[in-house]
Amino acid sequence: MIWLLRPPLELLQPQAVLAVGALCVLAAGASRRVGLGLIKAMAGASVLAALLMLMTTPFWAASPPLLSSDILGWAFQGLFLCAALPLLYLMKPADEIPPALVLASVLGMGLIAVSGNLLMLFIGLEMMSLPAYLLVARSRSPQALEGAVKYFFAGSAAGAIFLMGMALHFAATGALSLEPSTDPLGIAGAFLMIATALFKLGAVPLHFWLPDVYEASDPELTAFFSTGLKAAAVLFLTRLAPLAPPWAMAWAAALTILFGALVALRQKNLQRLLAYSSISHAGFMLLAVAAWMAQGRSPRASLAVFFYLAAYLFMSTGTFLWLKTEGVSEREEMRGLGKARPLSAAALAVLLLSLAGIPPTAGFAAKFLVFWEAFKAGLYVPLILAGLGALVSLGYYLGLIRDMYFEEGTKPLASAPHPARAVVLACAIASILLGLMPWL
Amino acid sequence: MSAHWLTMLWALPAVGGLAALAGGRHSRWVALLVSAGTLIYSFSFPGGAVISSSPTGPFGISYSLACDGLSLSLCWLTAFLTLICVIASWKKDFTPGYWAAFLFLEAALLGVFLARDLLLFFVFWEAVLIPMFFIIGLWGMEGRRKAAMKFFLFTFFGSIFLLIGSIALVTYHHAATGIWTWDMAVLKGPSGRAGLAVFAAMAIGFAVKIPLVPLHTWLPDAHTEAPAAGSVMLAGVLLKMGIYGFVRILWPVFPQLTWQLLPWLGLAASINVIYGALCAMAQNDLKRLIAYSSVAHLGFCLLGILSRTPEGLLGGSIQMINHGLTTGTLFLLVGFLYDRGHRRGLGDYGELFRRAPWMTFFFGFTMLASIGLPGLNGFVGEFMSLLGMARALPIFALLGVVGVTLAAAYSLPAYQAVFWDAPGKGSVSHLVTDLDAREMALLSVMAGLMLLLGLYPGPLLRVMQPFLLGLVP
Repeated sequence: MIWLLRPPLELLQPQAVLAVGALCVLAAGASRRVGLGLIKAMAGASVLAALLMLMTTPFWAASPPLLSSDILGWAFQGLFLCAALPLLYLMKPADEIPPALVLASVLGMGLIAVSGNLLMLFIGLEMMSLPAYLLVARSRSPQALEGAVKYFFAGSAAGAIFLMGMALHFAATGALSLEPSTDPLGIAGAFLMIATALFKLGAVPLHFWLPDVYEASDPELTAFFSTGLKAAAVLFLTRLAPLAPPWAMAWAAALTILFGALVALRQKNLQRLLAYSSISHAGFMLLAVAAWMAQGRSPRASLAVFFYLAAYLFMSTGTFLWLKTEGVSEREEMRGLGKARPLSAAALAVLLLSLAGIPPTAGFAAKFLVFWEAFKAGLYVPLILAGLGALVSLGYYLGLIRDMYFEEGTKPLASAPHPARAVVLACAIASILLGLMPWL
Repeated sequence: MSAHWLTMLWALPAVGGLAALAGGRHSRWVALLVSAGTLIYSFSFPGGAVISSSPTGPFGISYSLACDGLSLSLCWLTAFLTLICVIASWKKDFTPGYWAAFLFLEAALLGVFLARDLLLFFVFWEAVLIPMFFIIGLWGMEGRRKAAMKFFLFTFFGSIFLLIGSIALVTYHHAATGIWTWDMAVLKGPSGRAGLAVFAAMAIGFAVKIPLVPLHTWLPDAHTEAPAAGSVMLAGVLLKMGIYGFVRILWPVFPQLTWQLLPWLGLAASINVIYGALCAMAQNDLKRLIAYSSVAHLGFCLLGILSRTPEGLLGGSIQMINHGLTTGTLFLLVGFLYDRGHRRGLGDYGELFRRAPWMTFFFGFTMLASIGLPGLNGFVGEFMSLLGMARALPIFALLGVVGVTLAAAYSLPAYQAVFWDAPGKGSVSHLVTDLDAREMALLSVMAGLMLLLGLYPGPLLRVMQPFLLGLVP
């Protein structure tokens, strides 16, 4: 057992490692002699060290009122760190700032995971979001600045709404703990705080910022957003769970699933299509959380929540990185790829089938668990709507596979395959393995 | 018998499919050897009840396979038709993916018929879609892209209901007994409105596959646009999955409910028989005609098994095998004809008996088997099914008899137009040559089986018997 921090602060050990890592990266960047490759390696090493630290940290330790953790928070921290690894590996930073920003953002997510009251939750939220705005601004696409500004204003507004909700909650209960209150003021506060969580998750109708931001960012960054930030938003939501009614969440979930899927059908730009599809997936996560809440936060339902995010980590990372490695951005460019690039087309086909939830892939196991928990929780109508949403989403996933395999290519492919193809292939293989053996 | 022996039955073609993918120029040989090997291996199981099961896993889900006479006969059908398909496509210049797709399809289909765990069944059920999607979409006719999408989306629509229904079934079973299990042989459905809802959800899943009117609209497109061998597998085996689901899952799980719903389900099956036949009469495309005739024939299967009399259950089940043989052969013949003339319309040919006497013979023979001429296999299944229904609800048996008459009314004119009537303008009859030795051999085997099952169906019926007779109330 490694003890960096003495009890009662030992829950913060992974975060401490990340903070030290981020400072080291910044310091190394300040001295001109250290190359960017080394800086990236340092950032990656600090993420790995944080993972190691996470393994050795007992998740049941808690020091109220500020810190507390449970198995869900512990497992989610692993997800955050894993989501950051491909980004750090693939990003091409101009200087030392972006890697440090990524580390800071993951640190914020970790704070959400161990937060024990609303104040800590808010600090984690802002710590996670601020670097994200900057990372969007530093993307290479022409819309990067526009996207970053949109993201910043919308995100800050959401943060302000959370503060407002917190204030109302405090006014009603006189505490910053997560106790529900029956006071109208407290209910209004809970409503505002839940709205912030749904905003971060990208749930309808608070999704408006998401497609623009996802389209403006580099694919590897979008992969991080759709996995790490989404997982953090889900965790954020579960922390607020005592305050929210499950049926409302379930209906929001059903709407989100259907809306994301229907809008994605019409998209021409792949990154935008995947952005809407990630909204649809956020709906499934929301449904899982609703089922978890409706069953009195049963451990089995929390498994469904976690498994969905773990499966989505592989599928989504793989798909966005595929866009990067193949240099494809429009849907039309997919035509004929099945013949031109058999291996990478097959990898994408597996990832898309997994996103669609066709067995024997991880996506199916994830959807199946969510459906089962939703049924057990008695959320019948949202469940059927979610099923129909899955059908609609199959329309575009399958449509992409059709474009790749059944259509003739219109123009030759320019770029050579990217070295990061290995990551995509690994994600595809992981999607199948997790589907065959979900207990892994 | 250990579970591994059954696992090998579906794993053999799956591994063979991977080998065929990697096989390059030799993949057709891989496909031939593996499909032949699977067929031989499938005969190594004794014809009685073979059960094998693995211990229950997490949440009551387990990897468990079971094989009794009903599963076994459908496995034989699958393995046999896959081999036929491989040989039938032998001369064509296909990429390795084609051969691999057929082997993967075979693996998934065998898995469907072998699975004992409901979730495992569903996984195989869905896995069937992927190779079939590529078979239609990559190697099909002009409208293949749309047909492939339609096929996948339609079936997935049914699958969602099947999945939700299965989840509901398992959850209700747990509520009633306190045990989590996905074992088909153990599960019992809830009663009352919940039971009706679960039954309806699962029945929709199966009905899309059969397909029951009005959920049938994917079928004509998929069958018409698929390559010939793909149509053989679609009609020959994939449609049987729906009937199999009814018999294997819904009947034992909802013994009371199926009885109460008999009038409604019987009505649906009768509509299938009549509607399919009427649609077939209106077709001008030979492949589409046969596709619609499948709708009618599957209605007979359903009528038989609905009656829950020994004759009906056995007749409906043997009709599944019969339909696989006859309709498979018809699709093969249309495929051979299309290879020569590149047309499928009834008016595009005429007087083929002069140029292709053997083709004329086999087509006529198979058509008669399909109509239900006594002495050939179709008669056995249809007669037994109708007999069973006559004992349960005679009105539907009467409608079925009308369907038999209609079958003659759509088959014979089509046969006459293509093979006997004088060719019209723009006929491509002159392009048609008679069957070659490979095609003759294939069709002789099929025709021989039709005759054999028509004259002496006893052994096959005895193999199927044990499970089916257990369903008789």
